Amino acid sequence: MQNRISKTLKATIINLIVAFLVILIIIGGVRLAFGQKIDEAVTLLNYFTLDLSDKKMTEIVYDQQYGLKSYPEYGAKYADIEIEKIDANLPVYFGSTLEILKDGVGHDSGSYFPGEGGSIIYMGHNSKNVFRRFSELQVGDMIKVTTTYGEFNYEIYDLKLIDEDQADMLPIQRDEEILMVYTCYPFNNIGYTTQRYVVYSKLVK
Amino acid sequence: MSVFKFVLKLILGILMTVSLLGFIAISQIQNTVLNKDYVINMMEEDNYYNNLYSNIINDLKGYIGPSGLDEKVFNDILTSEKVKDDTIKVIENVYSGEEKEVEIETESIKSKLNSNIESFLAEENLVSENKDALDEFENKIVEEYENSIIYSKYYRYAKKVTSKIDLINFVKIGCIIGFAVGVIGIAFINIKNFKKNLSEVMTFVFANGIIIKVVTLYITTKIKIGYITILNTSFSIVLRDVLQDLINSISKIGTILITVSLITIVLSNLVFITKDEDEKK
Repeated sequence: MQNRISKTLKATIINLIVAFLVILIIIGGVRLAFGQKIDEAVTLLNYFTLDLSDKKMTEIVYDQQYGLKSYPEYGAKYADIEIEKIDANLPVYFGSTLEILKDGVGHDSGSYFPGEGGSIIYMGHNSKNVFRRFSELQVGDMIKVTTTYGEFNYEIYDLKLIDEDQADMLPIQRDEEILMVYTCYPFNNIGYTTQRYVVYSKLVK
Repeated sequence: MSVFKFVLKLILGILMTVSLLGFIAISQIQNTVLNKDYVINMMEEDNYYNNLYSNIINDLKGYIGPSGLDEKVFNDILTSEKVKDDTIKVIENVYSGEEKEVEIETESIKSKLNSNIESFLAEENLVSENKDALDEFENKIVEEYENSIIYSKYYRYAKKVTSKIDLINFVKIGCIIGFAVGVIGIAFINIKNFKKNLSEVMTFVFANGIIIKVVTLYITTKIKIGYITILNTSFSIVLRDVLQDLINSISKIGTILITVSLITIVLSNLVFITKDEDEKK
């Protein structure tokens, strides 16, 4: 009986060794042939994952010489914008979804942050609690942005009216710190607006 | 056993394993993602229609900010029943395999919205100086609703996939043939020692089970399925559940294959060795 068991065990081990050989050949072959594509697919799928449990509000780290070393999470409030002339004091969120714009001012995620020395694009609705008095702004008025890492003051130097689709084409550069804030135009319109009113301002301190 | 026979068995074994893997994967995909009733049932279980209805209403409110209107213009412009009916219409169209694109009735939404806007303007003593802006606003709302129900980009992609169901069935048949060729080939090689067949075939079934477990483990550790977020929360919940269900059912098959094949290998070896010894005696 013992002999039979040991023979059975031996035969089974041989079967398992063959099985693992097949497994190695198949997995190795697949890795060799499609390894890169599999990694790309995993990366792409993980791009669509949003694990809020391990997402802490990233503290923005600012370096005078090198600019920002870490950025806020998309949708997070990271600053306040104050425009004394029109009595506006609003929260600034990183991102520009309709959801964000319901609560305050959105920061175009394709633009720079205050202190980075480039183009910063903010936007807000022309509703009563956001930028309804935007038309009162003039060249020379000040805009103050208070972030979690510092205070930045900008002076308005130009005001322009552009078409809705041109808002996506506002110039992004890193030669000079320019804050562009826009809202829908006409200000007292009823219905859908197809124009945007842009205020251009330069960093003064 | 000659090296040639061993290599030939290995090749046939790989063919069997790959074919069985393909068959299991296709069958499970057909039972879940490609099964209209399963998808509709999953949406029902995940309260998809009510969640989508709330999402749409919430998204529409985003248009209020610059419009000079009030959120109450959206009162009763749509119901969760309409959202459900339209969603099922889209799903049925996707799984029908027809080229014709689905048409969503939006005239009732536009008409109710228009009536609400007029009431609001009258209540607030407001006059719209630009009729085009109001029309454009109504069109945007209807467009937003259609996009939320259809998800144009994904809808067209899904239609493309379901239109190839025949091809998927063809591949499935190919897998069955591949598996059969493997079994017959091994039986042919073992023609002089036919009793070994069962344990050898089961060896490759065991390999199959292990590969399934490795792949599912790889997917679940590398991809955070529970956190996949595409389009909106309601859609993401359904997608996560469908994927998780698919992975779980494939993994369960892997466990069954490993258990059954391992028991069969041991038993058939025991029976084969016992008979062999009895014959020698």
